[in-house]
Amino acid sequence: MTPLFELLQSSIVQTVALGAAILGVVSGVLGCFAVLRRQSLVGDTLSHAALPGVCLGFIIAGTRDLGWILTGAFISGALAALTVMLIIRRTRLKTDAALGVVLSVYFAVGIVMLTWLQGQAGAAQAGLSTFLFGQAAAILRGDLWLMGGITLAALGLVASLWKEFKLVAFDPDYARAQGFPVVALEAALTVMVAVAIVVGLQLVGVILMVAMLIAPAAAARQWVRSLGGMVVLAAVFGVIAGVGGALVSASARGLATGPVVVLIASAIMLISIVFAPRRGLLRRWFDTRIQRRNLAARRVLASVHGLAQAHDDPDYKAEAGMLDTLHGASTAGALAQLEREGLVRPVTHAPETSPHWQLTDAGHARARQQQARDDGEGKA
Amino acid sequence: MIRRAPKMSLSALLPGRKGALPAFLALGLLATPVVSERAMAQDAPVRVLATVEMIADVARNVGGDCVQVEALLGPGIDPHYYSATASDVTRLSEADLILYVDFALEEQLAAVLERLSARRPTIGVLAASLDPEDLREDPDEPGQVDPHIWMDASLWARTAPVIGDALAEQRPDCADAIAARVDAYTVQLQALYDWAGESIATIPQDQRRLVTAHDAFEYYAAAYGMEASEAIEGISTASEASIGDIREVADYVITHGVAAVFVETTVSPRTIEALVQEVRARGTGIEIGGELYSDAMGEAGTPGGTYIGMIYENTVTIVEALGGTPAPLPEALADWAQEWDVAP
Repeated sequence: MTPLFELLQSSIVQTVALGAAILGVVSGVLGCFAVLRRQSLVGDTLSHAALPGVCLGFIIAGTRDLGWILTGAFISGALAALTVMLIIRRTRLKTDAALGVVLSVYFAVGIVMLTWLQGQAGAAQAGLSTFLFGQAAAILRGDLWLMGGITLAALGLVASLWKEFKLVAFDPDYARAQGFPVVALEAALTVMVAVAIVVGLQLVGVILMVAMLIAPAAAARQWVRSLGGMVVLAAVFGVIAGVGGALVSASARGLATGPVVVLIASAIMLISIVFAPRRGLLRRWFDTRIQRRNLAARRVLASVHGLAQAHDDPDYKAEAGMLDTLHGASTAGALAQLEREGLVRPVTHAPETSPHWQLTDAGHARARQQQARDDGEGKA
Repeated sequence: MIRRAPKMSLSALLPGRKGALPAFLALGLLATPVVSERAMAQDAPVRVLATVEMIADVARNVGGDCVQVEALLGPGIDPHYYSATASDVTRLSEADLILYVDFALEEQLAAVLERLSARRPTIGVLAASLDPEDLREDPDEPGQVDPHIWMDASLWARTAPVIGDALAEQRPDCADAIAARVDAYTVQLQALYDWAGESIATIPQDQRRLVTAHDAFEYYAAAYGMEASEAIEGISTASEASIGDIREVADYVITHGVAAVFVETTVSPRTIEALVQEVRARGTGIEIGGELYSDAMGEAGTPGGTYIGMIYENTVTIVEALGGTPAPLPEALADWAQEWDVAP
């Protein structure tokens, strides 16, 4: 392992890390809208659909001219987006079927073209096959300007149409009722996914690109509640994945950069899904447990209180075994919790030797409160 | 299927092992009877289909008029990556003799060639011509050979008699002519070998280091007295170059004061360009010394489109970029030089 500061001083590490960071920002931001609009797989379809454009761009330019190749990728990606929309609007096919059809048809055309081009002089030199999985290590300084420019334009558009995009992402019907050009806005959001893909083609390639769109956005959704926060956090996650991937891949031979970036993005998503506060799996599992325990405690408290009322004896001593029978399950845990809260106390009821429980004053008060609330809810 | 980081080959996208689809196509075609009017016409030239041009050129030189040679992969096509199309399978199954180097080179064609070998005479020239002790191992994959033997003209010369025998077997009446041609060609290649060694020897000793995009020049370095050959990608191009690979080669270039690095006609020059940027950013001067023919020859009709020209042009490019002077061409190559208008 090379020390971190030495890695950061290296020109190629800086270039690739910066490129990956740019990709992280643009895919994180645009991915948020895709994920919120339940169109995550649009990214997958468009990135696969970029392949014929890559080949066409090469055929038209006749050389490995990145500008032509990326323009081709963008056009065929945007065409694919249009095709998906057309299929959904004009046929009875649902979104998933439309996405699947468009993905496979465009990608198949791309593979056919790639197979044909492999026999043409110059195609190997153009490195067309590297667009399948990307070749992040071969990013050059000059490419960063192109990637940065595209990203800035996309971010500018998102910022200037922020309110409209937000509305379309959360409530397109309301937006339509308000007179917003919803179709145009949705088309813009979808086409911008193609922009993010163009930025990512060289880094992670058409096949893994979808991970860069979904993972940071899905991870960010776990931690924050506002769209603004989500977009910023997704961009941050994207940058962490990009820079982290560049550093990991620089630390040893044979670690391909693009896949490492995608793995880190996926790890961030996994961690977020499990550990995030509020929405995390761990938190929800914990909350459910607490809720279940509290419910059991409330019901036991109500039972002891009810027994006391029925016997007209506030100090009524309820036998533990009887409470178990009443609830059909062990009440020991619930009673222990109530005891900790000072609502019940263990007592003996001579000559019986089994444990008995009695409400404290606080317990009576809580039980009455609980009863009043339940009654109130019952009436309402 | 995956060696180091997977870059991707077409067939790897398809289910099953590599080459599953082409193999399937091959099966389909083999099942249909390909009865041709060829019917063993004894004076028709033997139809030879070679995978790469390097073999095709040997077959042309030793076969003369007795053969009609074609190559599947033209100039600038990467044999590590190429996978067979349906029309390739048709062409292969109509050939009288199929020649390939080794499955370590034509990785994606292995399944198709294996199946065809049951029907058509098929020769892997590397295994048929060379002893295991002459071969180098792929450092990344123990047990796998480094297939780039054409880089060593004296080793490559040994394929000539093997190919000659295979042709003579199909056209016994040509056997004598072929034997004579094999001898003449062997003399030429031996002269080429000596000339390349002499030329490399003019490079200052500490500059005899070859840095390329993929590891195709180990035989070249060993044959002609280069100190070492270093590359960004391994023996196969089917791996994705990582930042670590480029940095390590940059370290090598700076440590050894290498003055020039080389791009290849069958590999994207971007990895070498990234290497040059990295080396320059560290304050060391470096040039791209030119373009080398690694896994394919040059355009047909140019000197680089012949095997001798491939080694000749590579050597001239390397020698001039690293500060040497190419030696004058030997007498044995005078005919070749005259045919291709190359200054001796």
